[in-house]
Amino acid sequence: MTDQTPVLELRAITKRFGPVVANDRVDFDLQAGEVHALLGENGAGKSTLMSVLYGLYSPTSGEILVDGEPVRIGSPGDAIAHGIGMVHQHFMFIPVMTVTENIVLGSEPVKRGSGAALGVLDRRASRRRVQELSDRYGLAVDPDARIEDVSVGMQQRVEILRALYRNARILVLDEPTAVLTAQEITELMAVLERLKADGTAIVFISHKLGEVLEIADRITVLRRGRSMGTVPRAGATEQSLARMVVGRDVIFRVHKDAAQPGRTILSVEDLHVRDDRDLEAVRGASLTVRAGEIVALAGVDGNGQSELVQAITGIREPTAGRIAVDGTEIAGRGVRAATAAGIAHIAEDRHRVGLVLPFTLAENLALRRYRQPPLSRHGWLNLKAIRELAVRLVEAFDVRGGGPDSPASALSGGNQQKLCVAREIDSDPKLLVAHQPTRGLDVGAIEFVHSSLIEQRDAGKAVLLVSLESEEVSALADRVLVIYGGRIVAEFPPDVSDEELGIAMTGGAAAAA
Amino acid sequence: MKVFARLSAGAAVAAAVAAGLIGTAASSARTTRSSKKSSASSFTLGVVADTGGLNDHGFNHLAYVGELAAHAKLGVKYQVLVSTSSADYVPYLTKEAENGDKLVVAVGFDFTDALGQVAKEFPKTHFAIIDTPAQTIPGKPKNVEGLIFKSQQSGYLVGYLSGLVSKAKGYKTVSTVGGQDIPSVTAYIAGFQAGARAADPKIKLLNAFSNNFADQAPCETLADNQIAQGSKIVFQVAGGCGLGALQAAKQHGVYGIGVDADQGYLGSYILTSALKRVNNAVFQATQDLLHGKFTGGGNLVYDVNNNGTGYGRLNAVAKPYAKQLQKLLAEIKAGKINVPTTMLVK
Amino acid sequence: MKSSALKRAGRSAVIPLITVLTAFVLAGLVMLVTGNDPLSSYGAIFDGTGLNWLFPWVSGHNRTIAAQDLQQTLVAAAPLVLTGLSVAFAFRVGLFNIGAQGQYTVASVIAVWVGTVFTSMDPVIHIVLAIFLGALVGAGWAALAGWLKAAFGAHEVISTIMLNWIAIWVASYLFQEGGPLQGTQALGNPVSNTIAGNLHLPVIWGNPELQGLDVGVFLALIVAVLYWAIIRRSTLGYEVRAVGHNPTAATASGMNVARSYIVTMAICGAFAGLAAGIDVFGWEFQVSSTTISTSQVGFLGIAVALLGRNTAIGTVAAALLFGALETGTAAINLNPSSINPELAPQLTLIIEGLVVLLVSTDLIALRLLGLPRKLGWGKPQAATARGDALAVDDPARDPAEALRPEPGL
Repeated sequence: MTDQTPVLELRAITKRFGPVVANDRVDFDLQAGEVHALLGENGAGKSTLMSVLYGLYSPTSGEILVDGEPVRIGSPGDAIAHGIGMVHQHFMFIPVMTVTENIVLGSEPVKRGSGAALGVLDRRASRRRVQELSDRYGLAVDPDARIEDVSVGMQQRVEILRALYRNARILVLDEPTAVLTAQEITELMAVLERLKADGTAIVFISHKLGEVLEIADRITVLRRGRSMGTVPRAGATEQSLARMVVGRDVIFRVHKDAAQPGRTILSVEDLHVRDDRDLEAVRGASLTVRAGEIVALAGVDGNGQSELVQAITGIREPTAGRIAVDGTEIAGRGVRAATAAGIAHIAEDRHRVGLVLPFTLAENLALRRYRQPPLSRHGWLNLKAIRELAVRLVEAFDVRGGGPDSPASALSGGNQQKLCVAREIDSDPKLLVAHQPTRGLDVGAIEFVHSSLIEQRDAGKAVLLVSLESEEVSALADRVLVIYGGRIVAEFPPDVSDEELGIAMTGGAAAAA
Repeated sequence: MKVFARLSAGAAVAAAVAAGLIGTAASSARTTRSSKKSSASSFTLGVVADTGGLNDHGFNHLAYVGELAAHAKLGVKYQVLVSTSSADYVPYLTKEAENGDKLVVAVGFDFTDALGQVAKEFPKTHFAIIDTPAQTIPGKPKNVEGLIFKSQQSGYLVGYLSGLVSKAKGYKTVSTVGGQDIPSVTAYIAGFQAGARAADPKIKLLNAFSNNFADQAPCETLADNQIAQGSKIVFQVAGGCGLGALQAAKQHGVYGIGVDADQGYLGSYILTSALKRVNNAVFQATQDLLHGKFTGGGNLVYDVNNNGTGYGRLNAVAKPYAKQLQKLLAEIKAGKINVPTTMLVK
Repeated sequence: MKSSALKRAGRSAVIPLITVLTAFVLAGLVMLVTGNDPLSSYGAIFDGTGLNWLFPWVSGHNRTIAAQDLQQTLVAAAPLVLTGLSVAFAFRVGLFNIGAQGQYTVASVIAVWVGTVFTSMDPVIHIVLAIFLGALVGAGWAALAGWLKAAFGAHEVISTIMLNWIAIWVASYLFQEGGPLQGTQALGNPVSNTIAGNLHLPVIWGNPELQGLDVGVFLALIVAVLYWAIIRRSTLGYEVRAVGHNPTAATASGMNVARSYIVTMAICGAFAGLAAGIDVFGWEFQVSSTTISTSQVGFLGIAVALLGRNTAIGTVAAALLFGALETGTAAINLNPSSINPELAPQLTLIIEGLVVLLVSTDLIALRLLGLPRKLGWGKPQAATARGDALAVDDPARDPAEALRPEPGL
């Protein structure tokens, strides 16, 4: 990069929450026309730093310079005024309004002349501007579509458009790829390249080493609130970055022997499941998983995998079809029947489904078995037994950040996931259903989850892995099933190419098969 | 959501007071009540109000007024306790009795059973109870006197006035909102209905019970309905709840009639009020006891003859009928009219 | 372990104590502004609660009075403990039980009815049966709201309010002039029959004729212990807490959330129903339309539960405070020269109102004091309910996030 004045500079930003130091003297600078990645584990302070930049928090100390001038950013409004735009992880839209309406919300153009006094919206002008911006950066956004009708990837592009509409020169993307499919990620990268070429400065927050190396010009790594330094992309490798992120060497691909599949454990036949809106989400899916193998279910989000998993684990009642675990029919018999038949379930959403966050680690670890001896007898809990279980599992699975009596909410995401994995594996299941088990995790935690799954396979368990990440699928799977439109449309060996898988996942194979 | 109403009322009071802090500052230190003849007497008059509270614009308020009058004119010491729930009745009566009170007045029939319990335990203390015959107190204790009112007379007087006004103005309907179907309420209404028919035999009578004496909303709703059915004069017999009925009358531009106390202060739409001078009864009972007279086990009856019942101030519309009302009052005093206590229309 | 648990309990008492003290100070300002001396007034209130009985130097007549006052404080507190627990238990499963008043009301009707018929029954069995049936009907009444929630998604706040009014109006009707349950000796008054003297709950302290302290207070304390045991030691309580914190995770763990709502509400209703039972057989002995429409014991239970932070000990303490306030403020009336008797009852309301106001804003206190949220009610539900799975920086670890108020309260 050149030595010109950075468009944005954060100097020695410190942010404390009581005794907790979320950012400790962090420096960060951004040039026009560059993508600067902010990389780090969960809780490393990335989001806090960007919240300071966007005026959501005021820093305890340190200063922010825009175009070399110190500025005070007390609110998102200030940030926008300084040309800073934010694309949040969780999109903030009003679903029933159109793309244009959502974009202009808060800065509605008012008609000139008589309409001005009445506050009449100039829809045509705003629609035109949205269309222009969309065309210029190849965003392919339909200004008149309703937000609720467009895909997640499109919604993200609308977020970007909204920032651009407000003349953002500095764009902050908070974990932009977390919700996207592989195809959408490719498209996003192309959009970012165009923005970059146009002189927009981009902060790209991520914990995924691969995509950071792909898009970023420079990379700043945060660890425990401190900057571990800034490196140019040239010369950086996944290994070197990973070491900076976690402070040690990380094995990327967990070693795995060839599978030795045994008898069929899970057999799903012609399953039909309806979703919350009462639409048929799973339409006649059939699959089997045998003991000692990992079957990966790959697919673009929203193709029925959630409903399929919910049906198998007993949370959702299927409308038709059979689900058998080692010969026991469990379709529609509820969670307890599924558990009794030998199913364990690492939920896709540990905060909402997997854990009761205010519960202690011990209470969380008891969730599966609190009704059985020794954890309880005649309706009364045996706190000692529950605590002993927790002490054992916390030790065995190396859960850090709290003891059996600390609330689960006090743990980092990775340790929370360890808690879920520990609980499910300890139930000694015949079938382990792992639904996006590494979502939102950093490299260290991913390594742990992956090796746990392989261990289970090698111990003769059947493992059904549902994943949206092709890297994870290829690292773990012994067989790959592709789900599309509620049906299993293709089966591949684990060494299937990303392209082939991508085509199948987007419906291409349905025609071919 | 009564508790919230109560609590938010508390918060509102706090806020209002806080505002006062800024305004009138600390100069508002209230002059302490000086008891003129406190040395003259060791007699203490105790009043226990029911859950309606002293600000009920009705009989609790009047009992307190009577107590203050006794304090001022007779030199007795006084105490008043305000019940917040029926759980307070026995302990508050006990507290008053234990405090050496010579006369303890329980305000209202709600105290019937509680008084039966307490009077038995304090045979040397004198008790009086408003609106309740002493014979109905459990155990018929000899140290309790009932202070009862012929409130049907007051009802008759204001009912008659309503009839006269209706006839003159061509009103077809008048109505009453009662707090509960109990004798102390129905006597008023019975008198009102008889009086109205006496003045205007064709007048249509409406009545409704709110089953509530505290919350204004139900009475307001009932009065709204009555006014919608054509009522031009609304007589409330429901204490604090009834103020809602008067509010409805005001909003719809019809006339209201107050009860117990003179509620003419509410505005010119108050035709008049049917009085039950509880204050006079409390004062009288105190004075009697000071003079060694106590009707233990029996009742003191208050009516037009001893200024216990009557009507309040007349508004502009009612003024022209003042003479007729005076005449009617004299007739009742003379016993020429026997006012019924049973309602014509329920 | 033990000492840290104690420390935790001590710390969680800090905020409610600050809240109450602040309320007293503000109410003291009110007194000051209105020209009264707060210190002597509070002295009178304290004496009025009967708590001065605990001081050995209070003797003679004063001691007798103090004993009676303390009895009344406890008589008033006992049902508040139960209605407080009723509201608190619902909070634990994530429901807002505004219906304790209605549950109390239906239970009073049943208790007084059973208590005044079947006169040939053995007295002990009779009392137990009447109180039990009252609690059972209270449970059913509350379970109705739980069922409406579970089956149709009807919000329990709405349904319990509606059930309150149904209970209050039906009960008023039953005892009013000509009503089916009006007492035979009522002589035009809207009251029930009176429970016979041999069916009164035994008075353990004070004069049974003057509303001495009956054994109801023990029942309240036993229920408080039971509450603690259910919440902390039973699988039912574990399920209730799990559902309260995170119904989705509870479902995924095989718990039946709908059933939890119904069972929890039934238990809440039983608690409120027991409050009615001890009132009817402890000191009330009859029920009138007037007391039904003026009773506040169920509504006050909401404030008690809020101040007590839904714990057993906290609820007992808060009920004692509210009971003491109700009893104690009466005493300042005894000297009309200190506070205008027309205003004195408002003082109770001001203090109660301030307590509720401050409890609901105690997060402000937390912020001012710079104390972490952990002292308070634990984690905000918001973090679990908002679906933060995609969030990388865990919001639950962000102390600023943790200061967000709990939803629904």
